[in-house]
Amino acid sequence: MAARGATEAVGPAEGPDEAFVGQAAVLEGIHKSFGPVRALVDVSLELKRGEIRALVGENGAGKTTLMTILYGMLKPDQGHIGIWGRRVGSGWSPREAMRQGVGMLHQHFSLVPTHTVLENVLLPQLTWGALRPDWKKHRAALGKLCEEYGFQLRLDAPLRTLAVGQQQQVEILKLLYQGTRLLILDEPTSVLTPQQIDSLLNLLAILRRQGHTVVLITHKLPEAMSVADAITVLRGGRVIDTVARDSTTPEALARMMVNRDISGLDLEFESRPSAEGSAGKTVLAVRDLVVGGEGGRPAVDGVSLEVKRGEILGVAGVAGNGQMELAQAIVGLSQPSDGPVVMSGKDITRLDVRGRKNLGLGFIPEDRHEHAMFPEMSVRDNLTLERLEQPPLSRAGLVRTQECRRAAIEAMKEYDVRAMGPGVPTGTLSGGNQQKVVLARVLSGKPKVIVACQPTRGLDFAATRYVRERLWAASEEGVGILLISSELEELLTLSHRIVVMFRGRIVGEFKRGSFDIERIGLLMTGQGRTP
Amino acid sequence: MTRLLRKLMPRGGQVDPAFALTVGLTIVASILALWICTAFAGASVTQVLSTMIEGALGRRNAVLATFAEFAPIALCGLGVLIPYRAGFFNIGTQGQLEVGALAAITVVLTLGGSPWVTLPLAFLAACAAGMAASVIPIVLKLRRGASEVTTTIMLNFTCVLLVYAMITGPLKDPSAFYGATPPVPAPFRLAAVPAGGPHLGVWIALAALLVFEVILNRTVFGTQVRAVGYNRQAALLAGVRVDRVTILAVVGGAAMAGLAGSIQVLGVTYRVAETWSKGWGFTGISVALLGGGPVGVLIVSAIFAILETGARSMQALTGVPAALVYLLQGIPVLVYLAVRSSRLGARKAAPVETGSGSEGSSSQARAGGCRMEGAE
Repeated sequence: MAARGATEAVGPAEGPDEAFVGQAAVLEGIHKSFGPVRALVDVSLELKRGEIRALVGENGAGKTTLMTILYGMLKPDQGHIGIWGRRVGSGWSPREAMRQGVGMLHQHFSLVPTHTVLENVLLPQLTWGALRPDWKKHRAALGKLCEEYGFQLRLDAPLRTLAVGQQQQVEILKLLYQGTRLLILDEPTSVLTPQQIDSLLNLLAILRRQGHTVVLITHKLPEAMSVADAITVLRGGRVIDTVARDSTTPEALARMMVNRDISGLDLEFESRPSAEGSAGKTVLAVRDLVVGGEGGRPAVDGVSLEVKRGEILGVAGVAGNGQMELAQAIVGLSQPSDGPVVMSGKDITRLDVRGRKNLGLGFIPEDRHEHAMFPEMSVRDNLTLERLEQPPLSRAGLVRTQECRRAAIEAMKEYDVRAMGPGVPTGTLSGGNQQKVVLARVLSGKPKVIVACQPTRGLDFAATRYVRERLWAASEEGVGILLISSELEELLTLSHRIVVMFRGRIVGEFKRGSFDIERIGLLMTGQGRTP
Repeated sequence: MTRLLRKLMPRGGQVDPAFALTVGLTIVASILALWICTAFAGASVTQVLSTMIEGALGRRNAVLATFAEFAPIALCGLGVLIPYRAGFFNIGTQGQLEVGALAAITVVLTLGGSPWVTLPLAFLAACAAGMAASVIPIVLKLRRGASEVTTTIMLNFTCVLLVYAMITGPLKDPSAFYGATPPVPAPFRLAAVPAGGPHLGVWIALAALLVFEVILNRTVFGTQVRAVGYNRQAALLAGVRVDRVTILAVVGGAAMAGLAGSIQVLGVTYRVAETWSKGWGFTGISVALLGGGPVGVLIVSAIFAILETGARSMQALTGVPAALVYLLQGIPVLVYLAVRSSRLGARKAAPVETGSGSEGSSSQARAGGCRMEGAE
């Protein structure tokens, strides 16, 4: 994924630099694009030695991308990086970063479950030559380190016997033992229980006391407020502001995170009738739905909601708060452990995906490559697969090629799918056109209810707009839509109602006309629950 | 049209670079292997190739032998291909072939009667035996998630040893010195059609290729098989009965492998004996991989059959070991796998899309059910 020209971008001059002296790390004018998506736009950031810096922002704001660039996993398209007062050269890589004391704790641990804590910690340092590592020496050194930082770890315990919080400690210990002095933690609390979060935040304070520099990537404002010295807000790939902890409030931060120029939204949507849907009858309902999750905590924890005929119900929330599990339970990919799923008054909890689909439940999955598409198969096959068993497209089990072709061309015309023809492999289409294929397939099944997850993720402006138009049009024809998105703008544009999900629960509900962006932002980040 | 042919055809003025690379590398590596082997035997490459082709296609009998070799390879190719297109890697064709052969000869020996009745029954029994041999891997895969590669490989041994036990035990020909069934009585031996031409089994194999070509590309079921093979999750969400489609595809493939056993025993060897079978089932794996579709299987099987029959006269006349042909059969498979796992082969036709950088990856990984951490 390394972009062309990145070698020059990182800069020819390696060595001390006036601007970088005294800072732990400096990022200067970083640009990064993934295809048409501009992930980072002219981002500059300075990290002081010995500070805890929180990086906050919504999903897709560019927090992780920025830090993976600092860590050398991604090369910036433009911009410079400085570490410990020196500009880094073109060979900047995670390996080099680790050598210079920059370490990153990823959301997904890289630990060997069957190895002991000791072995896991030493794994990155063992070389092929070291046939007999000096376990004793390492053990003593690690014991001391554990004591210093307050880790309650038994070095000989197999890793799989450890709780998630302890596993995370092992990861941190691994970084520290490699001599890491600048720690980047990517959403470290997302897998932790409240008690574990407390002890992690305590640990960060200890690290600061020992002179380490810490970057905490998070979207939870309480964490940022409780431990960080300064907080940098990113939004849409730009740094909005860096503020000292003591001179800001969660409200101000939330506003910075989600605030948008509302007038810049599609005004046509604004002017459309708002509460039209709520008069209709309920087409989809879940009551006290519980879906199991990882680590014992349910991913969906007693959610009740109703979608009326012709209504778009938006589900707001930072990704990973149970929205996807909710969607999967509704469409039949997973079984809820409690609570019925009801469609038009009929309990469909025991039906499989096919059964629910036949009742008129359409699904636009979050990840179309994983769940919705057959890139190797033709556009025609992709468009007709769902209806292939029914009369016009097949007879006696034989596909009627001409009929399919005609149906595909019709759908391509209706949904503005731009391809060389119905015979080309769908994978050769652009992302927007692929999503239109998915949309066409779902809508041409004449569903009564659609569950749409991130329907415009990764699409360019025109395609995004098109998909939204079609969803809106579908709702006007009476389809009830559950729209799950971590893009607030999308929800504000389309939804008749918005509910906010946090940690598997619904923590707030808003009607069109009284959308309160600031409050939605606070609720998404775990603050200001409705009493 | 099969994938192979479609790849041969320039699409939009361009040949698939991965395919071109595979063909190019195969030719280069094959010539290199030929050259090395022939140099050791003191023969020339052209001489070796011409005796090989001569030996496979030169005389009427040679052509018939090539046809007879072609049939089981092609059927076993189908036995691997059909499940493979549904995402199930059936390595058990050799075992399915063996039990199929045993079932066929058992029916013929015990029933007797009119060939018009008994032969179809023998074929059906062979198909059924092949299917039965695939039941355990299917159940283990769908119910318990066990890798079908392992289970089908291991069942090969079970099947082969089962056949061995039968031919040295209850089904042993009392007059034979080693483990072998009694011979197939003359009326039940597959006739040459037309007289002096290839035996009936070759036509059955060709018909099976044709039937599956139509099934895969022209039927609802075939389309669903392909969908399941390409993307199981998406097929499930598109309302395809994924498990059912998988089972039918695997069972269908295994039936073809069983059928291969029956036509071989009724058409060529006339008994099931110790070491009666060449590794047709294993050759079928290469054939299916390279062929990609029934027509491709037909083409590749023909080439492999020519190599197999040509090998004998090549060894006799030039002194180059017959094992060279296994080298020549293996090279394209290796090249194919190497190219496919390289960047060129793995290259997604779709443009790179990263809506929200690496932050989106966590939820995607979760949706795919493939989180790698040891969180418990």
